[in-house]
Amino acid sequence: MRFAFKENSLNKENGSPFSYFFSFDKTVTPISNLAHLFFAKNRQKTKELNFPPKQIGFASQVFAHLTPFSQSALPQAFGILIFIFLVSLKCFSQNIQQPQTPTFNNTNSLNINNGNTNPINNNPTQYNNTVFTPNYKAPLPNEKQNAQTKNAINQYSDIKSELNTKESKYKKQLWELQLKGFRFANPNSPEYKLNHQCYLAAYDSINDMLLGKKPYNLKRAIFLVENAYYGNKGKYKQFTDLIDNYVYILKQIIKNENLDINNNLSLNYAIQKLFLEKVKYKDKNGIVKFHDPFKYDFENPMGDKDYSKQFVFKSLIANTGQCHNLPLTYKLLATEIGAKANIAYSPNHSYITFPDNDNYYYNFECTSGAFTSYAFIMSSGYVSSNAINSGIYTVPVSDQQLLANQLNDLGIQHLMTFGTDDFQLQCAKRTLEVFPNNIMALQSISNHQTAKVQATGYYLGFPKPENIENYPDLKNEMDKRNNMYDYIDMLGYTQMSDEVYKKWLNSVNLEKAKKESEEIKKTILLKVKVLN
Amino acid sequence: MKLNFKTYFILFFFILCFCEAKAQYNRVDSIQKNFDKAYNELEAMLNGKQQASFKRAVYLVENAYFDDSLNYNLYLGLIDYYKKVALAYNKVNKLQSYKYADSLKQNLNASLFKIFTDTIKTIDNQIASTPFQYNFQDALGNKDFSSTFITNLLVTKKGNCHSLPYLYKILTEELGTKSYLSLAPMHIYIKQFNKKVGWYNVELTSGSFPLDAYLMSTGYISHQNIVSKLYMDTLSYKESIATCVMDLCYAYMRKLDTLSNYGFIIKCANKSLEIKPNYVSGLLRLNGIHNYLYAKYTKENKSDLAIIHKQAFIETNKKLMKLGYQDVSEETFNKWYTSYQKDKSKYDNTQINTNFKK
Repeated sequence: MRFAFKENSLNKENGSPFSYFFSFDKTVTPISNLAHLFFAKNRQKTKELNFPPKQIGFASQVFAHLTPFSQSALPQAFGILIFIFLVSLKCFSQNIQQPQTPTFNNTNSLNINNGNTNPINNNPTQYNNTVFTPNYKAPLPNEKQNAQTKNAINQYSDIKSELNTKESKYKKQLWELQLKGFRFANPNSPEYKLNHQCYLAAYDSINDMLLGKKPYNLKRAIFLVENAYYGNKGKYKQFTDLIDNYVYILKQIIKNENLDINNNLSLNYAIQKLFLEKVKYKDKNGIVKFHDPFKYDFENPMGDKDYSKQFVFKSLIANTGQCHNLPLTYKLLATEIGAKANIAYSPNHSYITFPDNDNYYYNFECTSGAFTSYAFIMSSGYVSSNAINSGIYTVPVSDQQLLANQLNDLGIQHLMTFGTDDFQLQCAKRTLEVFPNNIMALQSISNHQTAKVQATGYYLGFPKPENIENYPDLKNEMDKRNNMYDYIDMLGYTQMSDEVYKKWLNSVNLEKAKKESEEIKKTILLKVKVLN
Repeated sequence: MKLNFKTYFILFFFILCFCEAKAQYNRVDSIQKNFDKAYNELEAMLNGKQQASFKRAVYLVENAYFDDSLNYNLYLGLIDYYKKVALAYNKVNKLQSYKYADSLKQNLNASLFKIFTDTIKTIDNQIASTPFQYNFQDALGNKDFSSTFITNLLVTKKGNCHSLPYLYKILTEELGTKSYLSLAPMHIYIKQFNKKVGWYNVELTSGSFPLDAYLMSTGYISHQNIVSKLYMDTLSYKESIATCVMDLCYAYMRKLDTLSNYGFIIKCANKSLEIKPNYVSGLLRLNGIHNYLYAKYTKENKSDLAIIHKQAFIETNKKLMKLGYQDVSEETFNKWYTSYQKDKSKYDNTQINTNFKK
């Protein structure tokens, strides 16, 4: 039978390292294996191998028999057999644990819904009394751990008396707390009383659009959100007139440049021209006018000081903007002239991504006018593959999802004007129902939860982390917060500080990126002008 | 009748030929039997009839390739040895400046990484283990398919992008921490999660923690690939075992060097695709075999069968197109890998610290 195994890879090389592994009771390979134990020629080959280790614990003592593999063969064969027996004893007694896999789509696994289930009906003042007052139930003593529990109870009663005095000292309303930048909304303030109704109305009408009770209208949704900030004093016609003016200019660009209306790339090219170049156009009265390109607003781009800087309304009037309102403006203009374009997110940033007729996507940075490749976005190091997998960054946002995101914008606007509140939470949750893994909404919830933890901590006099078991309320809130943090990290979120963000924005202007951007621009031009 | 030397020789020759032919037949038969046995056990794991174990699944593939002669206990023993070294190292050495809730697990991971990349010595200055290295001679297993095996890695200490991450995954499972396989064009690497950094990549072939950008620098992973989860996604435990089913398929093809029993190949590919519908090598294999069969049946003038396989071929092609698959040759892979080796520090994730206290 030996001849049969000529081609077998095992027998090809007698000195193969695998000879360690083959048991001797099989009829298949024993001859060659035992033979190579006895033949001196093959010894040198085995010596070269880096076969493990000498002398560490039990295992290596057995290996010590194995390694030389030369002096006498039979005792070693016995050694191997004994080793196999012992190791099998060891190994069969092990339990194998299965690791759990990360899941991205299941938002229900979060504790988002565990807090106040119906926040809109809860008056913040009521919620103030119910949620944040500490629970003074003493822990039940366990018979087995008598000594420990006695200690704990003693400690607990000390803390209790201490707290009673503390609480009377610090008996303030939630909204009076100023904790590390987290501000709670004051429902009794005159501004809140005046404007909160506008927010509720805006929420209802956008929600109706999402449910299909009203027709889809992104323009109106954006107007509603921004108008709530101004207490519903703005006029919709004013907003639409501004957009119509831009559409009028765009139509002239398309006419002058002889662009193909059926080609999505050329329609987008027209909008980009409006964004980037000084455009000459004729007024409705026939007067020649110029439109300046949109500029990045370097003053307070995050809108910390003046939130209205984030508004589309502002970018339409002032021709300047940042990474929130410029892409939205682009998107609005694109829907008006029937071009396909989507907003996409990257850390603390949003930009436009648009397909050509073959469904190949290009990225356009509205803030700098650069065209970026996906490789460039990923090489910045702040967009990981996990973030793309889970759909939080760089994935084109659908129209319905963008509408849902307006609700979250409304919530954040509410936070910026009044302070954190259940309204913010409600907006974020509704957004997540339509747009799961919307990173801004998730962050909004986790920020709210962080504020809650700080507030509870404040009422309990900021207990030490070692004693946290004694404060079930605080522990509960902290667990919720930590779960939220873990979930967001799991999605591939990376934090980007203001400094890094500025650096990254500048890096778009680096030479290499510039070259790349110009190349992409050229290909778009080629496709728009020459190939049509 | 007297027989001289010549007749003896001729007789002997005939007997030899007979034996050869019969043994050849037996060989194919026994190989088929071994592979079927391994497949059945893998299928039982995937169906939940048997407890799923990645360690066992890897063993099954390699054992089938070695004609059911691989000693399981010795295999377990060697893995157990490295587990013990890692635990011993972990007991003595503590990580520098890692103060997060998962510091114990991170310490275990760091010590395992140390064992993969460095020589470990005992207090008596005895060498406990030497690092696992990348096999530059036969990285893709073209000369000897078994060079992509874990058993080879355990003994020769030289592995490739298949055996190194597989062994790492097995050992993390043994140590009680989590690691996930992740796919790239002609490449497999490890993804892990910790509280400090979030997700990070472990590249054992070069012993570093590269950023995602290093894979993007191949130019063969498009945005579409990542969105469709073709590449760079974390594989679940079941999906990892599904990769073993495909390994079994490849081992089978290498063992027989023919496509004669295509039934087994199609069975393996379909099973792996059942678990992970966008598994590249499953789709590619299925695509290849349908193309082969289409050509074969058109030659034999069996138009009915040919049409069926043509349609299946087109379907898999469409699926691959949808996922944004691009063909990558071995040459480009090698080119990319060597260029990556040259400036690997450029792509290092500096946030991860594996320095131990001295």
